[in-house]
Amino acid sequence: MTCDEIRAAISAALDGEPDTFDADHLAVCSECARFEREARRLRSVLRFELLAGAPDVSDRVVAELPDAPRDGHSRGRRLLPAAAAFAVGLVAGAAFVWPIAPDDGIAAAGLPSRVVAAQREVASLVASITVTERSPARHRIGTLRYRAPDTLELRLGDAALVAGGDRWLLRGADGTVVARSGVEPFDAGDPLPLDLVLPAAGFIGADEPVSLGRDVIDGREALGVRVPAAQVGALLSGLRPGGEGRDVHATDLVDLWLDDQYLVPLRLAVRAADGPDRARWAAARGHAERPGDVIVEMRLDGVVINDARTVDDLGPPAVDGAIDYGFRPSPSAVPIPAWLPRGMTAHMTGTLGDVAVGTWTDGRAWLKVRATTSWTGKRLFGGLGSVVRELVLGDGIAYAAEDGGAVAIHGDGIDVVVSGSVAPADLLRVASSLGIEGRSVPLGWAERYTASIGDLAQALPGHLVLPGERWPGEPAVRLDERTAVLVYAGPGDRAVVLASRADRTLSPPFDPDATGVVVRGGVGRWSPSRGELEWVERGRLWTLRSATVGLAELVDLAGALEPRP
Amino acid sequence: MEEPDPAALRAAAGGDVAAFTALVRSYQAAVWRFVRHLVGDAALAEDLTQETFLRVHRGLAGFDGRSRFTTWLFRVARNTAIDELRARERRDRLSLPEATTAPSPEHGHELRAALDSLPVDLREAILAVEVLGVSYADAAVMLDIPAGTVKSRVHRARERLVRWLDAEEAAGDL
Repeated sequence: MTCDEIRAAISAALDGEPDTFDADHLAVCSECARFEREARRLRSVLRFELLAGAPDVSDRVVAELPDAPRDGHSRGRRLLPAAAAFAVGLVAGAAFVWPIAPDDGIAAAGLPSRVVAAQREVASLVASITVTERSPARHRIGTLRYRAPDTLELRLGDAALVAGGDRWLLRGADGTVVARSGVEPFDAGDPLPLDLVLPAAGFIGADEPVSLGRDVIDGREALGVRVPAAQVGALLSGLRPGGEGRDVHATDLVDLWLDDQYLVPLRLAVRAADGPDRARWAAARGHAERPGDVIVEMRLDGVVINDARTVDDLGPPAVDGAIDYGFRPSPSAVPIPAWLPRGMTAHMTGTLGDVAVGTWTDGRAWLKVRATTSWTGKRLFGGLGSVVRELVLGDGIAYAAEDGGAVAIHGDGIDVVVSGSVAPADLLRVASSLGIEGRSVPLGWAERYTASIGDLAQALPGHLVLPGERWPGEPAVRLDERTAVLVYAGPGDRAVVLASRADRTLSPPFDPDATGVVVRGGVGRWSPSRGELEWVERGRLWTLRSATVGLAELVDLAGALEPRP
Repeated sequence: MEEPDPAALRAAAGGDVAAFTALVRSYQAAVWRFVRHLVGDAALAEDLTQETFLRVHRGLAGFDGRSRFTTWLFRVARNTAIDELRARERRDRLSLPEATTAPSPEHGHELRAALDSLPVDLREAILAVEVLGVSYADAAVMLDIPAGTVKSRVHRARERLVRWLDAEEAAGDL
């Protein structure tokens, strides 16, 4: 090959084409070596270029659309999860901390466990609901009605969500209707916003939140806490039935006021966080707001809790012609737990194809067992995620999701998963009482590389980990020949993933907006679209990634990493 | 670059203004950046970004999904920018800039100066691959040329830009 041909091959290799040149040539040809070096530098200059001053043309575009609204804001002509779909991929931003009234924290003492326990106390709820948003300004009022365990009606502005039993119906502001029947109880894809009734998802396994003290709201004693939006994502998405309404950033902070007796959310205010990535996220969506601005408020008024007469007429929606998801209520062969949390009684059983389903409830709290004897997947039944924890369960083993929110057992001829809105320890106890001896996943299954933090310390002595005071609980670990992955799950949607592999250089960035940052005293890279910090240390390439933790906190967490003895 | 959710795309194609607005907000910065490099003018790039999304709105119902949405979007952006450059060429009776030698550092220290010095066909190829980070195959769809041509144009652009960086370094600016 001539030098010209070799430089063309270097160029192609840089773009991911197969290497076709002799790398030894670079050792003897300074011209080609310099081209290779400079081409990489050029990539760095182009991809690391900071993007400043990108304009927001969305209002102008919308104003030019045929039949467009003249006020420059979207009309929301239909109500589907469509607009909401663009709100995902929450990236980084630094938490903005604004002053709060001094408080001794007593009000919030033990709150997470109180919220989880309070689920069984709420049998019904009726209230008027008001949601006010900024940028764009929008004010919606309506009603929220709930009857335990799973019947709920939310009318907000011109939109409505009605769910109950095995069906739900979503009506958009323009009258568009989406309906489903044959829905499995407490299905993960269900739009049922139970956290509007009681925000259990945000407090299971959570640390004590920042206390805002006590107040009287709508004539009820209330206590206030401040939490990241990512922690109460399920509650906030409940305010956007079908995606109607504005999105918030994962690092925004939420002032949440809960009824002191039943822990029902009475008020909330979401404030915009600070930081360049938060600003970039807002600019990309056309949100004109400053750090500390209240961007979403919700209030309940006329709250009535546990008066059965107020929900007498509440029932499953009529869903003629709805898409059938295939669940059939019936007696089923699902394994029955010998132990249930206090107060739990049988709710609904049925089948979904080859899967037997059983559910138990107590008020708003729920528990579900799914089982199949014909699982052919190459991973655990139940969709626990890519990194799990292996646990001893009776005489066998089980696998828990990284956040403890589900427990799977691969038994002899049967695969089972237990999930619910109760504490992880209760889920484990329920799983243990099923009397199924769990086995290790077979070779070739995705969870085969599941490891413990002790395995990690043995295989990779001195591997970096987050100290317990910076992130509660031990991570779920996956360890293969090349890569170590540690998942630190937090309450709600908060989580960070630490990965490492033997490597001495950063590979070219995937993110065209990647930029350089200082990580652990050295040079690293921040890829905003991936929410990912990367740096090289101790002969390994390290990645700290999160969809819900901002850049500043991520850099701070990276700085706190320390070798595990 | 992330692809939009298919359901959201369908909603936008079906006339959902909120979904389309969200689409604009998700991609407008990347489109503006690409177009700005292509035309070398931030204000003009803003107008062209607006025009790009209006064209996308008109064409969305006919988008058949054979290419990725982002590939199609940047193809529309590229065509919008090229149309403008051609119109400007006609107006000004000027040729598109065709650098035969690398610019010297004293003519400007910004990367933009180097990019501006490239012929448009090389500039759009290197922008697609380096700035947007797409593959040769996607760039080929975007630019409506064979993948092999993308490969050779990217290499030629790189050769020129590397020479520019060399000259810059020799001048002691980096």
